Amino acid sequence: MKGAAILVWALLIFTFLSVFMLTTVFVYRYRITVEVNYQYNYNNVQLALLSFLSSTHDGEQMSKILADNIVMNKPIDVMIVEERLDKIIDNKCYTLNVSDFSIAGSNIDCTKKYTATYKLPYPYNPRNITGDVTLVVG
Amino acid sequence: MKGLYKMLADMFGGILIVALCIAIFFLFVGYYVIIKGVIKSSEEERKTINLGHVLISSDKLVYSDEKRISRAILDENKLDEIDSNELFKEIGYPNYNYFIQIINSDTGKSWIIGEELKPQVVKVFPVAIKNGDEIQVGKLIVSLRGK
Repeated sequence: MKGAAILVWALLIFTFLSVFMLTTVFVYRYRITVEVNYQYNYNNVQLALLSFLSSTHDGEQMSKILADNIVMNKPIDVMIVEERLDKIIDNKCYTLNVSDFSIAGSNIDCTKKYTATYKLPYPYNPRNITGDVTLVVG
Repeated sequence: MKGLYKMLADMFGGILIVALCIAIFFLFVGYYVIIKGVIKSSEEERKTINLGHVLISSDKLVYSDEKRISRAILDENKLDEIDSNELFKEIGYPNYNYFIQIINSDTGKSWIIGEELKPQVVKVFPVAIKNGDEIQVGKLIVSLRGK
């Protein structure tokens, strides 16, 4: 009878340890993966916006094309902006906001979102010399 | 006869307890190994990310003039003429091999720097590529493998 009681205790300790250890392994793995992925995705959105603004169309930088549109109401070719962003962001799940101008990707099924913001210089603008350009990627 | 049964039951119980003790020991060993593995794989991911960020800021790949280095704007001329051995000697981790693939999304042109290997971790970084007077968009892909 005493042997059976010891056996039950040993089994209980074993079960408790197994469950505890498995849970901590999964929690640890999940946490570490989530953290690395968050930093990686966050940095990549910043890089995507930087690359987009640095890229040129007909010799003019995208940042200048956007600024000219806002300050001087120079018309902007939405197709070019969209095509450029589609090349940078594979899943086509994004929104670019510059002042009143906004453009969204074709994929609307976006879950987790990462945001990058840069200051865009507005040339010859008496009201504001800079404005925010924001890229939200899912 | 009763004594024999009792002896057998005690023996069986004893064996089970010993087996449980061994199982608990291996549980701890397994736990340690799994946690070590998790830390190592996360370390490899971080190393790949770090490599990518160092590469997109390196004078060997990105466009630069006398005054500044343009982070994340790769220079096509430098990519065409790059010496991979020199690059890997300067940028890398002692116990890891890696290779880089760069794709210009506008022109479709691509570069592979280093020997292709079966990677453990692959990370993609959006970049701009300076091609003459034009700056196009592309990707820099870093593939890492332990030695």
